[in-house]
Amino acid sequence: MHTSADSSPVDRGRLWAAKSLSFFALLAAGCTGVISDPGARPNTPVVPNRDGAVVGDAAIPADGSTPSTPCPEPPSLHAYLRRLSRIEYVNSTRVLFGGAPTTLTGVLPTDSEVNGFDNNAESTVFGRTRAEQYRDAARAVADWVIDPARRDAIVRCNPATDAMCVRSYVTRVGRLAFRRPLEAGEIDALVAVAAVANDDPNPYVRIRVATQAMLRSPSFLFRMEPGMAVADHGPMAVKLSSYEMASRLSFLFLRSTPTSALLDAAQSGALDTADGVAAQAEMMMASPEVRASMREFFVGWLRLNKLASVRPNAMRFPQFNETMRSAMREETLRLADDLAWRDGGDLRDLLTARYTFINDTLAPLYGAPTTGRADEWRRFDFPAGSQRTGVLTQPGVLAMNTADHGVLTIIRRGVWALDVFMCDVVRLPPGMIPALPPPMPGQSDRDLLAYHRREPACAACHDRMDPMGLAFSGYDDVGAVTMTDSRGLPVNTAGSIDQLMIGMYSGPAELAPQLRAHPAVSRCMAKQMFRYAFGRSEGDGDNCAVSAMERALRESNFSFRSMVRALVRSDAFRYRAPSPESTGGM
Amino acid sequence: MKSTRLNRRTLLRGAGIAVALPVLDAMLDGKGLFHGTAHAQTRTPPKRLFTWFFPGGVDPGDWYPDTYGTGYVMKPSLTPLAMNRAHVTVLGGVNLNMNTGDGDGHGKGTGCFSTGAPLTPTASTGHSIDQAARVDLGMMGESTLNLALEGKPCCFTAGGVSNVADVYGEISWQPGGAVVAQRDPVMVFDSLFGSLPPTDPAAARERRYETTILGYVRADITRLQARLGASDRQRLEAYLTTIRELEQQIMMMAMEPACTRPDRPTSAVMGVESNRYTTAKAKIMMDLMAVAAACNLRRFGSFMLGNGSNNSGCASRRILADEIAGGRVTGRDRATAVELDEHTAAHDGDTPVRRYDQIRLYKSYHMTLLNYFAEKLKSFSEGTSTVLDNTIIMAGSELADPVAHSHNNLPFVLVGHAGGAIPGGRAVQCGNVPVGNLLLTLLQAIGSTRTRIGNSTGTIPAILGR
Repeated sequence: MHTSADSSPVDRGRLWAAKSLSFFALLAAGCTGVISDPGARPNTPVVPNRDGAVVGDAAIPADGSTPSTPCPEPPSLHAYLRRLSRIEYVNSTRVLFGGAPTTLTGVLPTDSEVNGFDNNAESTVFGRTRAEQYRDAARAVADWVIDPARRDAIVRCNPATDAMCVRSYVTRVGRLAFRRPLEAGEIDALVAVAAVANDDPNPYVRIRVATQAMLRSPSFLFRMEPGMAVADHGPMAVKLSSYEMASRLSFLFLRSTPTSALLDAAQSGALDTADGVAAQAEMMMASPEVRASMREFFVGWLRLNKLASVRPNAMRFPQFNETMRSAMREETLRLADDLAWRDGGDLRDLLTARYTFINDTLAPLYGAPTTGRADEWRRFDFPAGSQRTGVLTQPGVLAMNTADHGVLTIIRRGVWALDVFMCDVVRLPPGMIPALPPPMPGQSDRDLLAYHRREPACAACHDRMDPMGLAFSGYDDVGAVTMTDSRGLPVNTAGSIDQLMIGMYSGPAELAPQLRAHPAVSRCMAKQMFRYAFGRSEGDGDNCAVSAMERALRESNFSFRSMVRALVRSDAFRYRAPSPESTGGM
Repeated sequence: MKSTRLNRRTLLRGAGIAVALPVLDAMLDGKGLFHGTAHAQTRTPPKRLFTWFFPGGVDPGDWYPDTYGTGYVMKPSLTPLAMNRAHVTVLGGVNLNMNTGDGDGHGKGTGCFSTGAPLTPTASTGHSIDQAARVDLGMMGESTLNLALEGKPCCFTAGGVSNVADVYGEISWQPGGAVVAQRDPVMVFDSLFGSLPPTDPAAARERRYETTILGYVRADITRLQARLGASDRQRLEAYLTTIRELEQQIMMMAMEPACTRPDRPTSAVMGVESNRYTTAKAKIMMDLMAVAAACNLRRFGSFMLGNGSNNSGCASRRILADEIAGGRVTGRDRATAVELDEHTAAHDGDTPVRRYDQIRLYKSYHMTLLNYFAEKLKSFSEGTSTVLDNTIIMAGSELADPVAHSHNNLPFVLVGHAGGAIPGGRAVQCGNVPVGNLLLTLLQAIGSTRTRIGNSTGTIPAILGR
């Protein structure tokens, strides 16, 4: 988090708008979630400092041109030693062996989501439970590998008759597993491990044991990036090796260990330069596999995993079922695909698209006609006068931000939009929340919410999350239009949000264009990409990379691919800090 | 699962075989498990410590006694424990006192109630009491037993929280991260007793393979650590620690267990999804925890009934309704309808009156389960005492008064006697002390010599009857 005290070569005269100062001072003071300074951040909302000077997200010139956030000297380039996530483990198994046992996902440890992303490296104490799960996963894969139905294709030699079989197997598979060629000593060690099963009645158990050993090796489970010292970036940066670059690209785009072809490219030196990395990235972005895999970025950014635990009241919403749950997710991802990969796609349309993609399961929620062809997905343009807009009013997003109680639903929907599109994480103050008075007959959800805004301490956050959420109160628990709130009273979606400089709106369709133009949105998009790519929250030292991505967005009408290009060319992607520091992350 | 009685002779035989093995060597050398020599008559039973988490706070008026001392009147929420009153210590006046660090009401409470240390956005900055016990009193390679019933709340963002699931779904911590709980009873069993009986020849072969693989991984970690910077090395060190634990575990498995091997749970026995908070699963997990304690396989650990923030919706409502209808939740009017799930009851039921009404029902259910665990520990005798006598269970929740989401006067109940250190049978007004004081008192009661944990400023002698 920036404050005027610790950074500010920013030209104050170019600050976006004088009135925004108070809002951003508030964020700086206590109501936002920036991770760089744990412990020092108070949780209690603070009344905005009227004359507070700020920067950070506010440092956007009024003309909307590129922000002038400086690169810190030197940038942090901090890189955690990252453990494979569950998805990464399964995907890597497929690269190693051409498949994976169907039970594998269930055996592997689940990943803790941080900011919606399941590949975060910040909290990774490697407890015994995880060690046992990795033990069982390795065994499941190894048993699958030596199944008589497929072992010839995978092992490519017969350990019963070929004395070199284990050696050739670990040399070939180990290169994929460790994401680099094995050292001679490493091959010998694996061969020696396999030899423990020499007297086993089944000769393939040697292959099994070698496979287990590789899959439990730290070289497989962790993404080692020792890097190499280079002259051009000084003592605070080491350059990632070609193989490490292949891994970064592969995990970014495919959430997997690199393929043999990508390792070949690394070996040839093709990934030694920024241009080479960019060219490889360009090639990868053209592939359907990459586009499918990058959906995980949108899943994390938009917190779509929350949909999995949605349980609308079965009496009131009998139409909701598992088919609808997956259709809701698919709808959001189809719009994301469209905006990310279609030529001219504009990520801001996540907020303002006047269309979506539906099938017959979702059509009734929109009052749209069905086709009778259940699986057919089609573009649906919102009729004139509709308040629907972008992902904000998609049924899945509304459903996953619905609570058992009307007031809380409104708050959740507001908090979600702030968090996802403005990187404004609203925190509750610790404890001692005054109880709301019991509702009186005739009081709407909106009336009840008004209590929050009487106490200055509560209002500091509720003044923006409540009106934001009320804009989406015209939709029920599964995202269909509703005229009444949870207390049976007429819905009123109108509002304004002074803290965010958002003027009067009658509903989502008038709110969304104002969000779209808000300067926090582009920065937030870049931050979300940063979090996904680097598995950690951005800090002060990461402004170079974040700003480069933000600039790329702004200069390309918010092209997703342009943002990714800026990412892979950034120093943060190609270099790392030399890791002498003890970060206290463990 | 069969109820298992400790057999002193098998216990000794197990210990005798183990003399050459490091872990039991250490156990025998006066670290607290088997004091001095391995003679049955002089054996002092180990002291054990478990945290036991129940979600959602309490209705203060139905929980805290009006007066404290040995003659206190147990309030209805606690009456499921009445039959074990002599083993119970009800505490008042313990505050979380966590004005720094991250987290909302639920997260901060869950992440800090057994650490007394603030949260960062992703982790705790201290040890939880079970981990502190292991650090202070444990042997190299000794594991804690950390069990939970529910999955972590995936993907929290709504409701104003820190976006980190661990602080809602884990209660055992080391600085930097959670000690992730086991959630599958079959896995728990296998890690305690092995999936095959120790005498099975295939099991012996597999143990040999596994030992070789573990040796390889251990050497590989050490080799690679030398090439990495300090922070990366530290991360690998955590993996290395688990490898050492698995090595100890496999050595233990090669031995005949110190007590009768219970039946391996099956999914049919569970009758539930492996990742759900149900009565059946709670009991199976507590059975395993009790037998692990009785067999001296684990001395320290944590048990987490449910997550304070999980909106398990109809699930928890239905479970509780079934338990009440079946007469298995005691001390409550069966006519009272269960209308809200736990988190909703704690949060946003229509009126405070109705919320407290629901919260009280849930507390009776939680305390009925806690009483089950106490009974289970009591069913194992150790010489003239029971395992419960030599254990201290620290039961607590992430909230005090859920309607206010407050952390002052957190509800704590102690069950057991920590080997005689804690007399029980009383309610203790601790007088607005930070939670660290409670943690420190309990750690010292089981033999730790530390003088601080988390936000401790001292101890609470009244818990020890002083």
